[in-house]
This record gives sequence, C-alpha cells and structure tokens, in this order.
Amino acid sequence: MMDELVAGFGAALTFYNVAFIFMGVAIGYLVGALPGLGKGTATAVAIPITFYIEPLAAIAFLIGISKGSTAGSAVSAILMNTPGEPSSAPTAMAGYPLARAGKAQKALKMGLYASVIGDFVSTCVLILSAQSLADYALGIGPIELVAILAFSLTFIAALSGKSLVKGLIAGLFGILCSTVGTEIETSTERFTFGSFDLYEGLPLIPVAIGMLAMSEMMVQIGDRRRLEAETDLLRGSGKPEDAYVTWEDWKKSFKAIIRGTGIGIFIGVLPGLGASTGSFLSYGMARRASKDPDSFERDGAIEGVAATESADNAVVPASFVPLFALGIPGSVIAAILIGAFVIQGVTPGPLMFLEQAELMQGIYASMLAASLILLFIGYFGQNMFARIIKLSPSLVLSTVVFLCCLGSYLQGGGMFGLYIMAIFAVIGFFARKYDFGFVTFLIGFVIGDGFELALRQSIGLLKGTPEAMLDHPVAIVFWVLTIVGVLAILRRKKISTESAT
Amino acid sequence: MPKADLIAGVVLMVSGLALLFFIIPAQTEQDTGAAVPPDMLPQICALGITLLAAVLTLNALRGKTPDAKPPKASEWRAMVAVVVIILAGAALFQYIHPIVAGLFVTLATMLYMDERRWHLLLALPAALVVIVYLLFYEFLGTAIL
Amino acid sequence: MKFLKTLGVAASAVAAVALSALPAQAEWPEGPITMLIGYKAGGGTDTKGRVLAKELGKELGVPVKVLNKPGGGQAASLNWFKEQKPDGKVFFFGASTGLTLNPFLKKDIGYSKDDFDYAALVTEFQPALVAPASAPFDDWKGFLAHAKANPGLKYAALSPFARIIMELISEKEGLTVDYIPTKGGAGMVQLVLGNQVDAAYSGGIHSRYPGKFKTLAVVTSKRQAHFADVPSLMELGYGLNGDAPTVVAFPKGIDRAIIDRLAAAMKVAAASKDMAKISKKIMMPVNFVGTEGAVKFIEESTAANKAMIEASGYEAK
Repeated sequence: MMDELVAGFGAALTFYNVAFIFMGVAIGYLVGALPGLGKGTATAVAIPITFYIEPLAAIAFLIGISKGSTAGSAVSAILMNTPGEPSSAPTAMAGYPLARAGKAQKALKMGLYASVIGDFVSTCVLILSAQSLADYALGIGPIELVAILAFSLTFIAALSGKSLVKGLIAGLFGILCSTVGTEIETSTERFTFGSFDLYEGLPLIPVAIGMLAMSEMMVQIGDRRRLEAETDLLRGSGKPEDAYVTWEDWKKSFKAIIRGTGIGIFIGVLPGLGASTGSFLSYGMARRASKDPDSFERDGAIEGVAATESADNAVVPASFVPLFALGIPGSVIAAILIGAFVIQGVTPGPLMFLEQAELMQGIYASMLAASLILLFIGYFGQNMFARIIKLSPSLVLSTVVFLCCLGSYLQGGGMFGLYIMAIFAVIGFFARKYDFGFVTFLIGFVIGDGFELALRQSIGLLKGTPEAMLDHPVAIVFWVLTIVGVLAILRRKKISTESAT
Repeated sequence: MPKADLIAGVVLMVSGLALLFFIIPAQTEQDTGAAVPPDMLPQICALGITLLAAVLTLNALRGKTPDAKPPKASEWRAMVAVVVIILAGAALFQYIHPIVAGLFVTLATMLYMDERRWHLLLALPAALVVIVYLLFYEFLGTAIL
Repeated sequence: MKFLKTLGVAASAVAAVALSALPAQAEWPEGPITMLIGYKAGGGTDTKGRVLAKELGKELGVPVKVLNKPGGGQAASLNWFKEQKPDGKVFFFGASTGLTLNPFLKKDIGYSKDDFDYAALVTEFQPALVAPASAPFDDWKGFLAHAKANPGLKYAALSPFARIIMELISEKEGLTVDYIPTKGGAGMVQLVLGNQVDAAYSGGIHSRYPGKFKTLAVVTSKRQAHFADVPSLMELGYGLNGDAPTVVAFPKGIDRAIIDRLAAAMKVAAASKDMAKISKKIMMPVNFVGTEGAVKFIEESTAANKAMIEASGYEAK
C-alpha cells in the first residue's frame, strides 16, 4: 500500500500535474471566495477544460478546484456575510460578527487552518480505508438515514436563536419548500403551479443565494450609512492579536476542529447526505458545547468558524469513499465528478481499483498535494481578499449583486433561477428583519427532501414486520439521541423563560 | 405591544390557513394509495406553521416576546430597488442582450448607492463583464448563454 | 480591446435579432449549435451526449454546446424545446421514452411525439430486472418460486415504468410485492448492494458491478450482448418491453436538409473511437439508425406503449 502510494507520488508530482493542481486550487479558491458562487459552480464549469488534458492532470485539476472552492467560500462568508453556498452559512453566522469587531484576519486564518486540517485528515481516511468504509456505509439503509436526519433536524430548534417559535416556523417552511416538485413514490407533482421548471423542485443554489446573499445585500444597501462606518472597522482593529490565530484561539477551537472533521467524514461517507448536513451538525454541536451558545451569533465565535469549516472540507474527500468504492456519489461534487471521470475513460466504482490502479494512486497523491497547496494559496489569497473589502461599499455590493445574478442564472437553469433567487431574496429580507432565522429554513430545505424519501422507503421496508426495527441498532441509537436532544431543548427553553420572568 | 411580531404572526397564520385549505388541496394529489400520501408532509408543515403562528400572535398580544425591529424606510426602498433592478436586468437580458443586462445590473446598483465617480461607473461594470467573458469563453472554453 | 470586441458582439447580436425574421438558410450550421439534454449533468445520457457533442463539433466544424434542462423525466426540456424555432440552432438528445411512453403516464404533459421531427437513433439503454448477489435464487424461475413462497417481496422502483412492469408481472403470476421508491440509478444500487431489497429495476447501471448483481431478465425485447444467457420478458411471455434508444430530434417544421446534414454527421460521430470507448465503459451500445428508421421506431414504440399502459389499467396522473 505505502509503496504504491510512493510510486503514485512519483507519477503524480510531475511539474505538469502539480501545475494543474496549483491552478485548480487557485481557481477554486477564487471562485469560492466570490459571494454566491461555491464548489458546485466551480467544478461544473471547469469540466469542459478537462476534455483536453491528460486523465490524471484533469482529475487532479478538478479535485483541486473542489478543495479550493470549498475552503474559499469561507472568505465571502466572513467578510461579507454572504456564504458561497449553504454549507458555509454557519461560518457567516459565527465569522461575520468577528469581522465586524475588527477580527476579520483572525477569522479568515482560523477558517483556512480548519479547512486544511479537515481536508487533510479526511483525505488520509479515504486513502487508508475506502473499501472497508464503503462496505460499512452500505449497511446504512433508509431506516438508519431517517434516524440520522431526524437527529439533524433537532438542530433546527437548537439553532433557532432568540425565539424557538420563529425558528420552528422557518424550519417548517424550509421543509415545505423542499416538497416542491415531483414526488418520488407516486410521481405526482406538488406545488408546480403548471410550471415544468419546478418539476425537479426548487433549485438549491438560487434559493440559497437569494436567501443568504441577496437578502443581505438588500439590508446592507438600505443601511449604507452604517455600512460605511463599519467598513472602517472591517479594515481591522489595528491590534496585532486580532490579525493572527493566537494560542488561546487554538485552545478554544481544537476540540471543534476534531469534532468537525469526524462529523464531516461520517456524513461524507454516507451517500445521500450533503455537505450542509455536516457543517450544520458540526456548528450545532460546537454551539451546544459552548458555555454561552447565544454569543455565537451575537459576538461571533472563532470555534464556530473552525467547527463549520473543518466539517465542510472533511465532507469532500470522504464523499469520494462511496464514489471510488461503489460508484455512488456522496455529494454534489462527487456527482459532478462522475461525468468528468467517465469522459476520461474511468468509470467510478469497484472496477476502478482493478483496471486503473496506477491512476488511483496518482489521484490519491494529487489529493494530498492539493491539501498542502491549499494552505499556501489560501494564506496568500486571503491578504488579497482582505484588501478588496477596503474598497468602498458601492463597488463591493454592486459586484456582489452582479455575481449573485450570474450564479443563479448558471445553477438554476437560466432565467428561471434568477426569478427564484429574487423571490427568495425578498423572503430572506423579511426573515432577517423579523428575526426568523434563515439558517433553520435552510436546514429544513436541504434535509427535507432526503428525509421524506428515506421515510417512505422505511415504511415500505418495515411493512408487515415492524419488529425488524430491532435489527437496526444504529437507527435506534440515533432515535434515542434525537429524543434526548428534544428533551434537553425543552428543558433549556423552560429554564430560560422561567429566569426571564 | 410588540407590533412587528403581531403583524408577522397574523400574516403567517393567514398564509398557513390558505395553504391548508386552498393551496395544498389544489396543488397536490391526495388519495393515491401510496404508503405516505403526497400531501401528508406539506399538510403537517402547514398545520405546524399555522399553530406556531397562532402562538406567536398570542405571545405578541401579551407582550411577552422580545420584539423584532421592522425594516426601516431606507431598507424598504433598497429592497424594492434591488428587485426592480433584477427584473429590469431580466427584461434587458431577454429583449436586448445578456451583456447589456450585466452592465445594467452593476451600473444601476452603483448609481442607487450614490456612486458618482464616473470613471468607476464605467470601469467596474465593464471589467466584470469582460472578466466573466474571459473566464468562461476564453479560459474554460464553454458557453454559458 | 476585448471589451470593444464584446460590445461589437452585442451590437451585431442586436442586428442579428432584427434580421432573423428574414429567411436565411445558406449553409447549416452557420454558428455554434446546442444539444439539449433533459437530464442533469453527469448522468449516463449526459455523459454520452457530451462525448457525442465533441465529435459532432469536429464533424460539423462548429462548436456543439450542451444544455441541461432536467425535470419531470425530460418533460421540462421537451416543453421548452417545443417552443423553439425550427432553425437548427438547437436539437434534442435523449431517451425515446420521454416521447413514446411518458405522455401516457402523465396527464397534461404538455407535448406529444407529433411536436417534433426525428433525425436518428444513436445508442440503446440496457434495462433489466435484477437482484442482489446474495439472493437465494439465480434466475427468473427461481425468483418466481421464491416470490410466491414469500409474499411481501421488496422491489425497488426508480420510475413509474419500473413499477408498472412489476405490477403487470405480479398480476399475471399472483405475487404480492411491496414497492420501495428510489431516486435514480445510484439510489437503486445503494438499496441492492446494501441488501435492503429483494429485486429491482435497473436502467443498465448494474452491469458496472460484476459479481454484485444477479440479472434475472432483460427488459429489452431482444437479449443483450453482456447477458447472452438471460432471457427477455418478451421471451418469457409477458409481452412487455422497455426498448429505449436515445433519439435525436428537432422542433416540428425543420428544413429536411438540416435533418440530413445532422444525421450524416451524427452517424460519423457515433462511429468514432471515443464514442466506442465510452459506450463500452457505461455499457450502452451504439446502434445508429437513420432518419427513416427513427421515425418508424417512434410510431411503433408509441403504439406498443399505449397498448401496454391500457392493459395495465394505469391511470395517468
């Protein structure tokens, strides 16, 4: 195994390949750092270039892009409160307040370090145990998925901030939005209002861009006098300890990073759960572990940034486990990569290791190299981006508006995506102003779809034999955790209302 | 009395009832013989929203919740302005040309934000359109329109 | 300079819109053309379509862009396509079932096979009924015996058609089957490899997993090269088939010269080395059929599917 990997390094680390990895990470980081654009967009639009380059370089290039863009989306989240994609939303929640307090540099650096650690560890796990992990993941069927998703949904309540009632309303609205489109079991349409564009459901990226980025732009544009005053603050407090990750910060974030990496790997390995599930779970747990959870969104929290970014980045390599071992994509990126692999004459799946062993070792080596290059590019790229926000708000915000329109056009099937983006921008605007919390909405929206399908499948599978539930210990564990979580939330809320009166 | 919460609660309650009794029955199939009818999850969500909105309204009437700050006049204006800019951009996209739409969206946002330095008004929209063109058409060699 | 050039492009595009009312059919294709695909990027049809588009571009001497419009089992793309001008700027590449079967499954689908002109058939899907490798039976006969002895068999259905086929079979054989809905080929593979279900419908993806699936019966009317010893449902006497080639179509009213030019280029592209490589990888054999054959297939397949759906008593939703 090690010998092969070393040989793989030799094959992978030619000047030609490293140049492509470097380019991939750089482009990915740049696209990811643009508000409203994330890893899905970056990887999808890059596929056509790879037609014309060597297979190993092509795949390494795409993996570089996916890693770079995953890490890069923290930049716009922290600096502009506009995450590139839903999975970075918690980064914005905990990181933007830090930037407003003059600690943008610190938050950006911690985000990068957490990203690289999550990514690197997850890559190592992929290399060492793709096959055995994949076999394990297959044992996780619909019955387990329902339990895991139900557990994730309890975080709606935990993340609902000031008002539990409002958080739940937003979460339910998110689930409701996820039911739009063709229902799988009966293939009947729901809420399509006669539009064929809605058959596939509401497109995720335009909804997220509208809800997260565009609605924030509306608020910022409408409040630009305050904004101009704050731009001065974003330039940094001038205190040197606010520009670096101090030992104190590491101590605070260390556990969050370990936990986040673990959660990211776990979620990534399971097909059917996305990066967003991983980062929301990790953020929710870091918040719960904190002594003062409400300070996360109020004052910002370095460990919140660390938790989200480590999980978000750990999902990507881990989602290649089912891709490489079974040919089943574990994430959007992995699904996009299937097309790229096939074009290069490689069919992802169990045959890949037999037919293309050398190429696989090369891919592994390239993935490790990409982690290190990411650290390098991110470190220097951040200085450049930190300089951009010193520009006047009218330039920054108009650029963001333009990019939001472009991103939803590209990822939402043309003009349809643009209209969806505009509608959800208005909804997001009101949600922000009336404290409904767009994060709980997004959790509901992202998880709702998979939850309903897994529920339908479970009912079919358990039909006639409900006692078969006992054969699913993993599911039982997660149901118990869900119940404990709900009870804990109810108790906490009761205590806080009692102490309030 | 927290007025903002009261308005939000009433609006949501009415929307929830509309969903329950009009929109969901009209837009989903009910009895299909499936293990879980297609309208079940939407009904649960709508019912939950209606009940929670009622709780929100009651709490607001009793003055128990911390009130939200409703949008300021300048924020209302900005919201409407951004929507108008997007829709106008969409119209330009379809009836004139995508490049015109791209230039317009950027330029209009800058003007709305009181940017009056003419060299920036010219440079930024042009730069964005050129960069996007170079990135997709020249570098990635793909068409996006 | 680039920007001036771009503005120039903008101006000429405006002029082009103004001029497009005039009949100008010099030498097709004059500029880039678009291949419309009704599925998401990355799937089987999309993968083949992209390779085909690249080869077609070489053959026609203009770039062929791929446009994905997923939704409603190609219904979203076909409804959009129907409204396009028949000027040869965009053509459709997709599974024939979207045209010959889905209109019987879905009320108000918005289009019919008569809204389009057909140019060629390119490749074939290889659907089959499959079971996990751990199943206690090896072939169709064994499956039937097992299913009769164990009512409440779990069957993964990834589409309404997958469900109808099993409903018709169980009606004839007197089986009781529980249908587990699933999303796409990947979802089906997950259920089968995880031993969650007893049998499943596969659009062809199972052939990428040697040793992990048992192929019980093929759903094409003829036997498949990879599974020469597996009988078809036709042979077994059910009178059912899911023959689904990929079809190339234009909006109705296209110039016949354009159809001929595209069909000729498509024939060369389909025979290219890259296309052979890819169809072997994803096991969707190339079987090029020219314009006359394509039109004939669409008519016959539509009639056969109509009869089958009527026999099943399926009510269009």
